[in-house]
Amino acid sequence: MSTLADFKVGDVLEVIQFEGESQYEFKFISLGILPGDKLEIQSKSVLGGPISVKHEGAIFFALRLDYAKKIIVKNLGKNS
Amino acid sequence: MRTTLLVGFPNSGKSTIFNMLTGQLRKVSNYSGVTVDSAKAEYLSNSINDIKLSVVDLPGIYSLVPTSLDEGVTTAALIKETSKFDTIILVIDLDRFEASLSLLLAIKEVANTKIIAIINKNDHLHFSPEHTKKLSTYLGLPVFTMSALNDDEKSLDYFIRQNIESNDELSAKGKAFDLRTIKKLKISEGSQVFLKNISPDNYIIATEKEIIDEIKTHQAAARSTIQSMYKHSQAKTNFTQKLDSLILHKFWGSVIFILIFYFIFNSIYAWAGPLMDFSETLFVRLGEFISPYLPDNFIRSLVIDGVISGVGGVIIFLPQIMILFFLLSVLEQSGYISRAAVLTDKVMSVFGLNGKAFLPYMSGFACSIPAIMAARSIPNQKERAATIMTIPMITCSARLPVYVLLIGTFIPSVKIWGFLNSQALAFFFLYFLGRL
Repeated sequence: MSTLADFKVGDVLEVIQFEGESQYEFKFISLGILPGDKLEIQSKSVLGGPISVKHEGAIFFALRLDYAKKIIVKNLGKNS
Repeated sequence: MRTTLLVGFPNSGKSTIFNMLTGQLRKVSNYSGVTVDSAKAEYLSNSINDIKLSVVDLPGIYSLVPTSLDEGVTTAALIKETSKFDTIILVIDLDRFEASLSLLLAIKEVANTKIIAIINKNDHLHFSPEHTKKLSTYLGLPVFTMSALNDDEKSLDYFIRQNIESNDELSAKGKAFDLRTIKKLKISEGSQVFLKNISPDNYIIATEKEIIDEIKTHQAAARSTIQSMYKHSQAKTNFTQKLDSLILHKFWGSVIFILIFYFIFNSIYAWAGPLMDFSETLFVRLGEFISPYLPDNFIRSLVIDGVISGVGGVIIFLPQIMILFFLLSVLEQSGYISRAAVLTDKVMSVFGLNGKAFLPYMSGFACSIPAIMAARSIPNQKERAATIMTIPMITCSARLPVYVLLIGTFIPSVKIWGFLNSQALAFFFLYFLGRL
């Protein structure tokens, strides 16, 4: 299974579920990231820094790599 | 005096609204976590109204279950002694409509207080009066739509007062405005440490799964409501998006980051220089101008060598401090700080710090004390402690004149590679290495 951290800039992904301790899931849910939502990767930082994503075509989030690794996603292809 | 509470997401404009209503000058910034403690002030309009109101500004929260100290402040205020507060003013950020609305639904279930919803950031008037009406009917709460950027406080003030008055009339007749069933807030065991000041009777401990399910229910309700009535326009984010892809770029992002900070420190030198010379001559002239009018004894020496050159010696550095403060505030308002936090997070984590420590460090350039207070927004205790301990090592503005004096004395002004000023460069590294 692939996580958000495995994809490249420009990829559009669908959130399947969250793994790891429930504190991660708690944080994602309260930020409004739910299973079934679309995420598009906007940028990745050098040396494994945070990943910034666009949520549902509107809101920007920057997620640390250890957080991004907790989001299991499905690839929906490139952004048109 | 009756009290209203300002609650909402981080960076949703609570402090801006607070400043509008009270005429205070609380620090606001385009960055989340600027407000880390509560502040209370009276409404400006109290002088022309019978009902005297005050408003409490609280730190922003994403959910009612606190994950850091500043969020604990807000949750405690919301569930403890709600009778002390008249009305909760819940600020909804239109840019993050769904998640903010879900917070409102959660608060509605547990807070035993009347709620007014305010939709902020309606800067482009996409949220019409019909939308407002629909949302108000759905929620069963009064809703007011505004843009803190474009509107003034009068209509907001009027709206709040009218609601409080109509509520008074209803309760005088023995009717409550909204009959909600109030539940106790569920929090996880891990969150208890952030609610030390309130008695455990105010909440119940639940498993994390239960809490997550509850938040999910609210999110789903918020989503279906919004989808049935409103479509948010995304046109305005296009420019920001293009800019973001550049300043968050793997390589260019870091280059721009360093350039921006070099520019700031360089401009302190380049722009302040003429102003400093000007004020220096001004004080020398002032001394020369006054000296003939004074008797030639210790009084003259006191005024000229003591007062004028003493005060002058301090005022000379004023342009530098003003330029530094001005540029730092431009950086804060532009929203670059949150991008800088993304860029610096990894580098900071090498030193056991959080990217969020970037803002405390930035304000540490101005003064260490507010910087240490700002460190409250960092959730991890170890990272927070590390940030607080290292902030005093940041060169605050009071040390600026000392540096300027030392650099001026010891570093010759030469050009390096044709464009870098050696003095500015020394300055840049003093600051930059101070940060690391």
